Amino acid sequence: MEEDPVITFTINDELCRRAGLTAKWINGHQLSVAAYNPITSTTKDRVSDFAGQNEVNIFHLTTEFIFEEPILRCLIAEANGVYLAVQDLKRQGTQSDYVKISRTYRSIIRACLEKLEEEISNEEISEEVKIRFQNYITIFYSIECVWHLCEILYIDTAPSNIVVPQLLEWTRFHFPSYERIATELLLYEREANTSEDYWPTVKGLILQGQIEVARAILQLHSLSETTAFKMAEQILKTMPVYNVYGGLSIQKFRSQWHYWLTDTELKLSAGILSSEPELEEIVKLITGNQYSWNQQIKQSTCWYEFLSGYLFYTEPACKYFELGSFANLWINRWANEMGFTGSGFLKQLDRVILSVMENDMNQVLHSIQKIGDNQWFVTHLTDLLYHCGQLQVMGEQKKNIAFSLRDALLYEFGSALMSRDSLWMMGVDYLEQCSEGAAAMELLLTKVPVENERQALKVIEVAKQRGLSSVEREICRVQATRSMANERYGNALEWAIRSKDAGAVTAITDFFLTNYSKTGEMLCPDVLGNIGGKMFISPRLVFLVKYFDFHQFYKRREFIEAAKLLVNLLNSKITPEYFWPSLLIDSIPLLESKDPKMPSKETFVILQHLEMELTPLIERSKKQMEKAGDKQPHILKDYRMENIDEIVKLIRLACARNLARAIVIENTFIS
Amino acid sequence: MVTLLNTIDTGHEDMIHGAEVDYYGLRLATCSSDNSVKIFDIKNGSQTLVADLKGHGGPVWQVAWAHPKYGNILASCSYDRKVIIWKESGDWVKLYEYGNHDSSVNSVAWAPADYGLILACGSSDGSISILTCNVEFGTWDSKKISNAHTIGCNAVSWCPSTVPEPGFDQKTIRSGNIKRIASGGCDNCVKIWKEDQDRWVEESRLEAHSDWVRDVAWAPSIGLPRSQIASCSQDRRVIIWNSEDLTTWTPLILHTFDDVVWNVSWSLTGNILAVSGGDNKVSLWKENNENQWTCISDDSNASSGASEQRAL
Amino acid sequence: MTVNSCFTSEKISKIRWIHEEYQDANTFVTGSWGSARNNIKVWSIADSNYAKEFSIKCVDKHSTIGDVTGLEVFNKNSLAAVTVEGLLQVFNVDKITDNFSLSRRGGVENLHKFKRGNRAPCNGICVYDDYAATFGEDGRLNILSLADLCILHDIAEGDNCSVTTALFANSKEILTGNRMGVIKQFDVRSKNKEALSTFPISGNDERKSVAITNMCCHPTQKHIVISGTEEGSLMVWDLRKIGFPISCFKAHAQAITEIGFHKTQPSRLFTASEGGEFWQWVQQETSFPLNQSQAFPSESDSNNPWLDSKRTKNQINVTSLITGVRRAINSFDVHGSHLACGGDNEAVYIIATE
Repeated sequence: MEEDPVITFTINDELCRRAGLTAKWINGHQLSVAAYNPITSTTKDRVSDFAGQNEVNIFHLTTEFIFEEPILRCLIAEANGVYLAVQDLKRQGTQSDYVKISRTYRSIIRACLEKLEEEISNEEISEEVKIRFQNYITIFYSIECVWHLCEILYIDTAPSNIVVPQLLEWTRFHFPSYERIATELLLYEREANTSEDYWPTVKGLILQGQIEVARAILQLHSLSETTAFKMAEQILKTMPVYNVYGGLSIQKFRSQWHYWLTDTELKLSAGILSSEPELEEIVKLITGNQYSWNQQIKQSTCWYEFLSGYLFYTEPACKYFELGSFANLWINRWANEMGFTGSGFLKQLDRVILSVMENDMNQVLHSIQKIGDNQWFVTHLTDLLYHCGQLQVMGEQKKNIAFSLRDALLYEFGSALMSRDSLWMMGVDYLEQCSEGAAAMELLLTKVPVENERQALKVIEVAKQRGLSSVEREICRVQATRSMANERYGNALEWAIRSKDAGAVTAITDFFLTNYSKTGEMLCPDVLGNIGGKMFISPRLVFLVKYFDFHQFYKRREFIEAAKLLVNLLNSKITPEYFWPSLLIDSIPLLESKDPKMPSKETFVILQHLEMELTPLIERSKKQMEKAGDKQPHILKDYRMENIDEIVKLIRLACARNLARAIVIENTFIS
Repeated sequence: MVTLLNTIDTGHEDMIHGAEVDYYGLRLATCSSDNSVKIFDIKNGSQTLVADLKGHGGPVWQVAWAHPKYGNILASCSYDRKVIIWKESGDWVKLYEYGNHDSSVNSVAWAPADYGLILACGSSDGSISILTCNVEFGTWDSKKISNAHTIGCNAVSWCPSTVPEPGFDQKTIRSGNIKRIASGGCDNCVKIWKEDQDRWVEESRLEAHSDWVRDVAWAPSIGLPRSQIASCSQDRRVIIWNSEDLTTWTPLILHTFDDVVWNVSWSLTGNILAVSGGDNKVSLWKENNENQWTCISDDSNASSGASEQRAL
Repeated sequence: MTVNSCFTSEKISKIRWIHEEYQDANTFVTGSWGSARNNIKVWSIADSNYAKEFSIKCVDKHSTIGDVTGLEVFNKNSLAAVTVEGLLQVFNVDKITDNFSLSRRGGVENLHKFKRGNRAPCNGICVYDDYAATFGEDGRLNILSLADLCILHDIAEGDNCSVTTALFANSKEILTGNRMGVIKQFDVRSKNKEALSTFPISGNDERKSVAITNMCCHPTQKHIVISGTEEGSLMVWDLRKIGFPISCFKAHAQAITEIGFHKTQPSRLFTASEGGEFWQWVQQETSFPLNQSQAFPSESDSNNPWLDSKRTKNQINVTSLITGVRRAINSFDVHGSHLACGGDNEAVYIIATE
């Protein structure tokens, strides 16, 4: 395997040149490069030697990514659907399932090529775009050609592995010009041979093994009724064609063929066709005459153009394992005739095709990684071959590394898609199928730049479907923080609840409660009123919601209910320390009411909490205050009253008064 | 094929020492010898200066973004011995300032977000500080590893919170509350620190470099049952440290370069390491299935050979 | 039924038919999301050479920054589009020679803002005649005149939670749904900007939020409103006695993205889901003689199957209109016998039911 050249990208920046540079990854595909000068323990606090002389730039580099082009984007999206269908088969599909899938992939590539061709023919596009599209066509044409060959040789394999019939079809598909002209000629009918394309086309068809079509065109020749033409027709018609389904054993076929060959060569040497040299040439070709083929080789545009035709006439029963050596023999012959020497005459596609014919899977996969398609082809082909059990790649220890190879390709391709802003959804499909995908998805999904809640919900949905609950929670948590920053407190609370992060819920709830005790304003009543069962995530939120309910009762003048709830809250053991003053102050109007709302027992409860909870708290914070030198215990404040001692006094008084009234009423009632 | 996506003119009057993109890649923070920290909006290839933060009295060496779940928070460290934590609440304001180092603070790094809002700072005074924010009350608590590296600490890097625990196959187990930090310093050592109750103790001392260690980078965890740390040094070498149990570490020399290596950086999923140094080159390295590291070749069929390797 | 599809190179957020009189619509518009630049595109369908196949072609487009979050047709061939950036734009879709083209008539910017004045994402638009309402993450409702392109009225603090969907119940009233599953009813003209009524929904697990994702009302019996939820269930409401849903049933496995009746055949309801499903709910002919060409002749509460959960179950047949779509179908529209839908797999599907 040849060493791949390391390609260097040069940055033109004066400061970088003078100072040196540093690089840092910023996300999956971007590298940030900037001028850099190391600091040392002796670095002094003064301007550096580079100050104020050059622009200080940062360069963001990325690898080229072709799928941002809309036409190619359609290809990748459509192929993604096919890829998912492959996964659904779970390696249990039949050969015909996989052939169908392979063809669907190819038809997507074909459609893409057609769209690109259409764009190029559009006169309005710029030269630059045209060149770019031309480059895409080259890339995807190569992919189509190799894919087709792989399909024939690996997926749509014929019984007993004979390859020639499919190879002929492959050649016909990729060199369609003879067939196209033939169609035109067939429309001419009798005057066909007046066209200057006539003989080259007939020959071309013969070289591609399309005997039937060639015969039809020969019939159109104005001299087709002559003896020579009739002889030729007879020879062509009687040529035995190997058919694996024909029931003829290979030995029988060979003897038939030899008989026909000897007979034909005899006829040729007898000169029966010498009156029609073109016909004679054609017949020589079908007998595999070396000289005639060597003459024709020079007409071929690439090495494999006439290979399948030649095999058709000389080795029709050739099997896949023999193909490599035949191909190599042919290449040498071709290079020889073309006058090529050395090894540089084969282009990348030529070499890939040879590797496929040689069944050198390692080399095939290695080469198609460099095709310039961001590894789309190698990933999808490897995956498909793996699924239909045709991927045999030997690692160092002669072990089949098919699985780990597919795994690595899916991982790379998936992570590459995930780091492109709009393709993360597709990326997940590839990561999902590889063994280390879950951790990567977890990492990359939280990195999807979410700019609004709709996008957040999309990422959350994708994570949820894959059971990545930590991703879900983290995104919700970020949304909660953002909502807080935007002063959307109710919304923040809802996101925090979704994040299932009790700590976050408590922190936001604290904000609501402290805001209330500072300002007397209950934030976001519409949200608080509808939290319902969701409050149980945090005791603090339970407290807030219940406290909100207390306010609602109060607002509706349902004082008895309000009083009950207030006492419940006092007893609840979930009152945050800082909220004791507010909660106890709330009891004052209820205690001071002319017709008592608080029975004596509850009044005792209030008093008890005042003495057991608030008073010790005041003591504690007073001590702290003395230590810190503050004037007021700052956490124990309420918007209604500043002075904490005042609060205590007022509550005691209110309790005393209410108790007096309540006892009178209660006793009266009893008696 | 590599292409230049955009060039950001920072407008700094002197060298920049750090350029960090936020969690989502939408904002860029830079810090410079001109004592300032700048924040740019770089969404969709744009480049808008959002804030120019002045607060340091000396060159600012490094900046680090906190996880967005704590809000938009940035830490910066400077020659002026201070670490400043900035927060965006409408405008950018100073949230907290830490001044308990006796010398230049060279490196700051936020802990994995699962642990809370925690910052590690490495200083030329040889110590490492760990600052922890009590998010509920907005208060900060600090712990110090004194004499972590004699002469000075150059770099700090946190262990990911999702490193698989040894002994569990397949499943990624969160390593619970065991926090770890890797640091590199002028004693030629890479050290691993582990939080043990409320103290930080030295867990491992990785000795293989023969000169000052300039940068350490703990690789992101992608579910493999192993941990990797990359370190680079003035001895011109980059070493990859591998461990399966977080206690025994095996060094593997990635490459010996022609010049001092200043920085190492892992890609997001930890599959590519970017190495940059005194030879003015940035090279990208990748580990193959056989655990061998190779310099990445381009995936395109472009024929441009090795052109001038210097960044001109 | 035939299905034709076309890949769009972008994720589709909204799809709407341009109405044509006396024939099935052949032109539709799409909005996209998730790219740096998004598009509002006009597409034409034409019969191709092959039987039962359409060719689907993009004939015009308007590029915009930010996700297109709302797209509605009004006055037959006018189009109101909002982006997440809070920009409302109005277009005419005119037929010039044989092709439709998009011409921008004007726009209103910065419709949604947070308290500090920074831009808030706009979540969508709903229209009624010439009026439109936009809603967003700031909880604000803007009522606009599409003819004059101005805000007529706003309810700045409509909701303290993000409004995810809104619907004009009639010319005076608007319904909103939010992420925590609360539907509110507002009088758009009242000075008092408080909600007239508020009713929460609950899901399977009362400890979880269930967002209202979309709402629609019955084309002839306007008091019947159906809402779709994050959990994929449908809830039927009678606006005359609100407070509790009349019926509620599990439909899709994932969130409902859009829900709507056939405008002229109210016996047909359609729902699309985040899971890539697109369903039709048809009142069974056995239980009610259905005449496709006209609305229910004797339609009333007593025979509307949606108003009784038992009847809903017995009389309504659900069929799936499309299979094999593996990502969210974000939007659909129905006109005559033509259905169109599109979503996150970057394709649009045109379904001809006849």
